[in-house]
Amino acid sequence: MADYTRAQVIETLRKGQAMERADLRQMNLSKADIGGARLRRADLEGANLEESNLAKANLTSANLRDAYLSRANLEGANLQKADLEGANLQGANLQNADLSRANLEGANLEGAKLNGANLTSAQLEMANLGGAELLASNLSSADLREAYLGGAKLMQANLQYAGLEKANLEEADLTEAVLTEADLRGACGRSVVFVRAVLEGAILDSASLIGANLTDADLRGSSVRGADISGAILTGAKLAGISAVPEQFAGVQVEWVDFSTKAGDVRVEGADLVEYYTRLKSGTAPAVGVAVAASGDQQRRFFGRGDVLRNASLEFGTQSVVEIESRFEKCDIALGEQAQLIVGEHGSLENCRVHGCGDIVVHGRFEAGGDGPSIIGPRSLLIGKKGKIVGAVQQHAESTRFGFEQGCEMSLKISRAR
Amino acid sequence: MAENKTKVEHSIIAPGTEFEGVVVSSCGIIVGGRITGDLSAPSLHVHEKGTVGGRIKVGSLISRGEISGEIDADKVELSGRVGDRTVLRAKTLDVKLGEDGGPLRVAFGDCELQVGGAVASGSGRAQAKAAATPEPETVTAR
Repeated sequence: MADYTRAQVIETLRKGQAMERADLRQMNLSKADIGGARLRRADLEGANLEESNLAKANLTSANLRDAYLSRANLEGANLQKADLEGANLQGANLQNADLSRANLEGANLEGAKLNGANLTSAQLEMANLGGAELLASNLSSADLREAYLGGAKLMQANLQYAGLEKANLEEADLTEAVLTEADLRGACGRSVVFVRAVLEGAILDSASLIGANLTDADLRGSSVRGADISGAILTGAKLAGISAVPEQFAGVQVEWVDFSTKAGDVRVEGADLVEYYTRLKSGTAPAVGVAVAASGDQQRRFFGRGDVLRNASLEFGTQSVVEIESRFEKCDIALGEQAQLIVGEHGSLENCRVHGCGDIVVHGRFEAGGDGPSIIGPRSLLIGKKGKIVGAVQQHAESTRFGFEQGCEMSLKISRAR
Repeated sequence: MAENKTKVEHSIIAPGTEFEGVVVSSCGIIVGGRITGDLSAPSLHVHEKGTVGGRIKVGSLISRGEISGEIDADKVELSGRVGDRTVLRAKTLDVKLGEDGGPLRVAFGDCELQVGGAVASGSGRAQAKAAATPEPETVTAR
């Protein structure tokens, strides 16, 4: 138990004297005016600090488990590594406080003001942040799994690398927030606002984003597999490299989206989104710039099932499209610039050599024996989920783009361009 | 509070931290810094700025940073970079193709990939589990 009276503690702290490591468990310090208090490593477990003034206090590594801090003023306080598990911080003022690496598991921060607070790597698992204000706060690498953030204001917050798995973000406002590589798997984001938010590389698999506002959001390289995005607003969103199923885009509200890459601007109208993304996924629309060029002049070759070609030497010109559903043995295949070679599910290339700056898609089999590379200089190589490849690839001078779908099999040596 | 929660433990090697030696863990490892040596764990997540090099045996591997060495895993999701002289054995491998003209999703050095049920049987999780159980954690920090 505590060895001090309430009056002694308040007097000591008001004089500016430190009470580091003091045992103040269960003490009633409600409404105490102890701003700037020096309470580093103090034990305040279960203490009542309701409506107290602890502005700019030093509470580094303090034990505040289950403490009652409702409506307390902790503005600018140092709470680094403090243990606040299960604490009640409802309506507390934590603006510009340093809570980096603090433990706030299961804490109640409903309606708390955390604008400008530093919550880097803080543990907020299952915490209640409903309606909290977190404008421009730093939550990078914070653990927010299963946290409740309903209606929270997170405009311009930094949530880079944050773990938000199964978190509830219903109607939260994350306008211009940064969520690069954040993990939002299974999160509930119904009507969440992600306007101009950066979600580059974020994982949103199986999340519920019904009615979410993703206007002008940056979703490049993100994954929304299995997520429900029906009714979501995607106008102006950057979607290059997004991982999704085309049908997911059927129910979204969108005027246009941006699939731009370094190669140039690619604007896709809302009405064309599902079709465009379907073609992109199948490899028949690598990018609008290429697809447009290929649509008019491309030469198409199809080798159907049952045919066998042996010891042939074949050359396919620039932007030609070659589909193989037959069996090729010991063939030498030259691909012109941006030519596409698609080995279909029934297609088989055995001991063949493919060279040239083309795009290769393998849904069937490609098996090569012997020494040396069997595929030389491809611009891209995609192995589909049913594809199997055995051989060696020597990359394109500017590096080959590789894609391997889950389920593919391979024994593949990759080497740089010589 | 929250007595009923199922807690998933992770060890975090934060950016700016470097380890050299042997890391054996029974929980997942998240790497934003650098690990050089032998690593065994049920799961490994390498962030964009993270680097892991050496003998890696894990159940699942998600890498957006740089990996190199001899890697055994059940399930691998790759982006980022794969260093020279790397051998990656996995039951499944997932690499997004990335946009034409866009940045490379994965930059491969000179390496070897062995992927599929036949080539990866007995590797990954089983080896990671075996390796993870008895030995103490041996880490040399720099």
